[in-house]
Amino acid sequence: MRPILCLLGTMLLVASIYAYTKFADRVRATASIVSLQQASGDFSAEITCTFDCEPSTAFDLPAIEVRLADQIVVARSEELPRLTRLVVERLPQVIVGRNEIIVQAHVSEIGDATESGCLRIQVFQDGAPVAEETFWSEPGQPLVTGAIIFVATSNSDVESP
Amino acid sequence: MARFFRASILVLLGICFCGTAWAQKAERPLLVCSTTQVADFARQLVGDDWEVRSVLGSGQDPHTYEVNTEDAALVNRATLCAENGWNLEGGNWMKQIAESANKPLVTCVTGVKPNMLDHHGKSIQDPHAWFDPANAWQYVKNLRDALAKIDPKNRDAYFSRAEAYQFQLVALDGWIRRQVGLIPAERRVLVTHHDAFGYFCQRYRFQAHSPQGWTTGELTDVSLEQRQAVVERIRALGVKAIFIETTLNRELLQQIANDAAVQIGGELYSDAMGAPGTAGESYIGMMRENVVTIIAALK
Repeated sequence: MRPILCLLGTMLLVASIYAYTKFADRVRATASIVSLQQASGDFSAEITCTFDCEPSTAFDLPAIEVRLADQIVVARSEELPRLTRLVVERLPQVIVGRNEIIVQAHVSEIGDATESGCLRIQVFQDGAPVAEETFWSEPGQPLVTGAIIFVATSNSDVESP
Repeated sequence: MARFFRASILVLLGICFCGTAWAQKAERPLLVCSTTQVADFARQLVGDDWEVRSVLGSGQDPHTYEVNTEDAALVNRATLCAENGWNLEGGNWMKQIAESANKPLVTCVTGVKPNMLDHHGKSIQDPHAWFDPANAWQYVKNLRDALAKIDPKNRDAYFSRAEAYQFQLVALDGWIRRQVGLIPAERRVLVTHHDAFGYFCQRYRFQAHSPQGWTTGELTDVSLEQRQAVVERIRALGVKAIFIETTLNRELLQQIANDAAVQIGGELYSDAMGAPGTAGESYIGMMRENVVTIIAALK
């Protein structure tokens, strides 16, 4: 009798642990569906670098890349001289709520590159500035990246967080 | 009571058996690499999805390595094999064992622009291409593509991990440039045991000198003339320090240092990475450690 009880007890223990690991998360998680609403208005971005942007053939990187909602909006393979403004018109996929623009610029590889690079990002809605950030890189870093977040509200008013 | 213990032991054994069966079911594919560097690149791409093994361990020399039956047995179990190529593996030993086991093989230097070296009047490709982080990215791409081909359902994972590692390599390159900028141009002379650092020197604008040729397989061939030529070069260039390599005997370099009256600047990782737990246990760690050693000695 005891071995059977022992076996049953062990099986119950193993089954309980298995069930807990398998179903606990499912019980705890609450699912809700949030529909993403496209924000109205004309959104654009301006990017200015204090360094020459150059594509990297060695690392397969474009001179400058702009992403919104994890989608590549611009991947420029031509050089962009310093202090030249890159204007991205009619940003697609701006949604009501928080939006994030990520910019990645590759510094020209000439020299030992001991200077810091600076990247300025401005976001406009219907021509009016709504968000602005400046990013500095560590000296010598060949990639300068920055992310700017802006919030688009349902009536298409936009605020920077 | 005794029956109770016996029953408990039986149940525990049963659980252990089931656990082993589950573990066997979840056995991962095996990727066998020739060198520690190639294995490190592979690990960055496969995460925990594959088991990655390196034929060579830390501090082992690929030029002179002789394969044994354990290596052949390991390759026999492999799903995929990877080598550096360009005869880094002396006599192409990795290619030979992969071919004899009929296993797919990735040659990591494919697509790298080679530095050509003179070897007994014959022009050959320098196989130490990983010392340029841009070439390391080419290694990673070749491994990524081979993994995606052999395991297409995890293609996105391999590409995502490769992209994440790409940024680490770019950051490493930038960091090395910044560090190297601390050494005046006239002091950028790297004297090592053998010609392993050609790609590093080319990218970061060093002059490279060594008494040995591109391979360590002919150590006895270092003539007095070759040694003397390096000593004179060190004196002429006013070199502050020379460097030994972790995979090689330090005697020759010590003699050259004594003859030229310069100090040994430290040990550099060359053909193999460091042991687990050391700064050189990964590719990026190895490169950083080498640069720190070089900067400290030549600045």
